[in-house]
Amino acid sequence: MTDINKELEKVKFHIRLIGETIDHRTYPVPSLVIEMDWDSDDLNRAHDIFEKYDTKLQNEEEVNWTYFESELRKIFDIGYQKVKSIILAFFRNHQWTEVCTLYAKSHMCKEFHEIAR
Amino acid sequence: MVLTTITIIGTVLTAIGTGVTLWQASRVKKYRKQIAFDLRKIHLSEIGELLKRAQDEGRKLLTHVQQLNRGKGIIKITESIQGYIDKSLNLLPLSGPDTDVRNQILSVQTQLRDLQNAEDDDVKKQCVSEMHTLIQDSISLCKEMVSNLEIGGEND
Repeated sequence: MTDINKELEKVKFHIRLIGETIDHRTYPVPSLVIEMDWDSDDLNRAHDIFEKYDTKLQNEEEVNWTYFESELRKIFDIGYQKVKSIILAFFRNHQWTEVCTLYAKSHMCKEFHEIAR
Repeated sequence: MVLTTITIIGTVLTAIGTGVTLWQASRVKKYRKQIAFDLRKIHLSEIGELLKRAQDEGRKLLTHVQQLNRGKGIIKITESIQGYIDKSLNLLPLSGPDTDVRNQILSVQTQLRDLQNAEDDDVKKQCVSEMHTLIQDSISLCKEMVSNLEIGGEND
């Protein structure tokens, strides 16, 4: 392994450690980005999906929340638990709140109580 | 003789009655003054709390990272801040000892208008930042006035 790679691994390790210290309630999206190991484009891709469904809601189109979840799972190759993390992070950061609320109501679980109440 | 005595007693009783009435009137005046003083203190404290909520709403827009703002309902947030400003202003008379607080809150409202009318992202960021500072100053002013009232113990 070259010195640059070693340094890179060290920096990544440090960032992971810093990520552990971030309060995910106060800084939900930065915490999510580190947890998911996303780059800027990944975060934009997530926004694009939320924006797409937000636009549907604004246009009063019918929304299938299972498709919404499938899109997130497919794009990021993640499971339901990670989808929940994304929903909670955006909601806590006051982003795409309507999409988050309606998805949470359609997939009610203990973690979503703070959204659906 | 008897008639004179009765007249004197009547006069004395009338004088006592007048004295009691005047004493009661002065107490009523004192109570009214105390109620006005307490209400002013309560209103200033309430305004402080309302402005804290407005500040919490404004904080949602404080970030400078574009991706942390995407999807935030800026209209909803500014409407919510306006709601807290309206409630605060409704608690303040147009003139009187709390004019400074009123003017400070009106400055917040002007900044909020600028934010609502801004189209450029940099201008919006500037407005949000200045509005945050103005709200903070208003909260501090309310606290200071409540504290002065408590120390002074009377309505200015």
